Amino acid sequence: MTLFGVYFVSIAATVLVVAILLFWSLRRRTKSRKGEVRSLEPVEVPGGHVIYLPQMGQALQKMDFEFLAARGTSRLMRQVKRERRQILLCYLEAVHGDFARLLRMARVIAVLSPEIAPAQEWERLRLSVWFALNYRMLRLRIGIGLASEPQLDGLSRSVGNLATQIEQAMTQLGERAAFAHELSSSLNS
Amino acid sequence: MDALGDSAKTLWLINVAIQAGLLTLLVWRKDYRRFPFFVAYLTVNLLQSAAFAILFTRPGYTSRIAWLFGWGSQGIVVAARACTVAEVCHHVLAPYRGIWAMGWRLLVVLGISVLVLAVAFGRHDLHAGIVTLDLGTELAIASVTAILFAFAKYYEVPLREPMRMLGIGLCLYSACYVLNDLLLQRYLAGYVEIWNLVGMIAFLGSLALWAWAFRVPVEAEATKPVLLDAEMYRNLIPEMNRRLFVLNEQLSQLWRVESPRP
Repeated sequence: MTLFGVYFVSIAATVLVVAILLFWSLRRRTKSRKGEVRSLEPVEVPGGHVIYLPQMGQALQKMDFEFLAARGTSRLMRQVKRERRQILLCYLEAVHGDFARLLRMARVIAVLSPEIAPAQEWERLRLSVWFALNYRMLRLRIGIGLASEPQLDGLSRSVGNLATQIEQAMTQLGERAAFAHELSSSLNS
Repeated sequence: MDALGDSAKTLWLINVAIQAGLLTLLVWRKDYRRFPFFVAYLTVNLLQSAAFAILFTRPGYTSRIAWLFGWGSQGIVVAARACTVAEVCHHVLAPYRGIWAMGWRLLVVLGISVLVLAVAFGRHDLHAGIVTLDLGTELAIASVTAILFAFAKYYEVPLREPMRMLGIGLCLYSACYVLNDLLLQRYLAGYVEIWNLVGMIAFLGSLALWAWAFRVPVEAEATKPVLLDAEMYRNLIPEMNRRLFVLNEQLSQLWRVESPRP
């Protein structure tokens, strides 16, 4: 390929990227993503799904399957595995929703803040991309039956900690009600 | 003018008519107060068209003076369009002081980078060099507009009309222009007529979008959002990011531990 050929392809590719970006940006959300809220309710600090962690841990216990394999039929064991996997996926979806709400809250704070730190914004963008990738990998692994208890434990605890932290910070600021009102009215205006 | 084909002449007349109509409407409604650069852009464009009409009739479409004027005035038109993009950016982001302060710097750096890269790696002989400069500027305009929209989506900043349609029109027109210029550089003389025609069709499409956007009077400036105390950002965001970092680290680590062994 000639030098101009490379230039030609690079420019055409850039235009394609621009077009994709434009269409992605303009795409309206026909339905709100699972776990994501359309109107912000800051009082409802996310993280509630963490309380189901013990049940999720139970769903991953190998002992149950070993017991079923020994006492029941292999068909029954497969069915239970399948059902539990579905429950785990739902749980992961809910935790992801919590995470998305937290991120959204951070974005709203950034939008309504008179000063922001570009480094912090960049960091959050980078982290949210990584979270999305990791979440999809984990989802895939649960789907094919490779996830184990500690993975979910780590994920849920972090989300829970973050939620608690924000809740504490907001309480300390003593502006939760006013804040909720301001955010909602600003978003709706 | 006879050197232009019938279809090109018809398109040219339609473009001029719509532009004149839109400009009249904007001036009549006094929208130049809110959109001075867009009105200036339409005015410059119309003046260029009028000058072309004279030049193409007397010295002719293929004359050197027409060529020199064509590319010379194109620089002014593209600069006016770049200012219009800046105006759209300002309308969309400026009410949010924090992200505007970051956003405009980001967009300026991005625009200049795209322009410099496109020009640096393009052709530099006399004829193609001008096209390269034109292409680079148009690519920068398209990129900045697309990034502005992505930025607005990421931060959930509302994109109100007519800014939305104005931005879409500017981005799509510039993107078409880039592809058109690229093909012109590749095929040069053999592509000139098609280049003209494609350029006019793309412009007609954008004009239609802008006319649609301004079909109703522009709403008065929305009430400015009530901004939070800067302390809240300083207190919460670093901690939120730190937690997110820990979470990602955990996930990455777990992924490495659990990865299938070779």
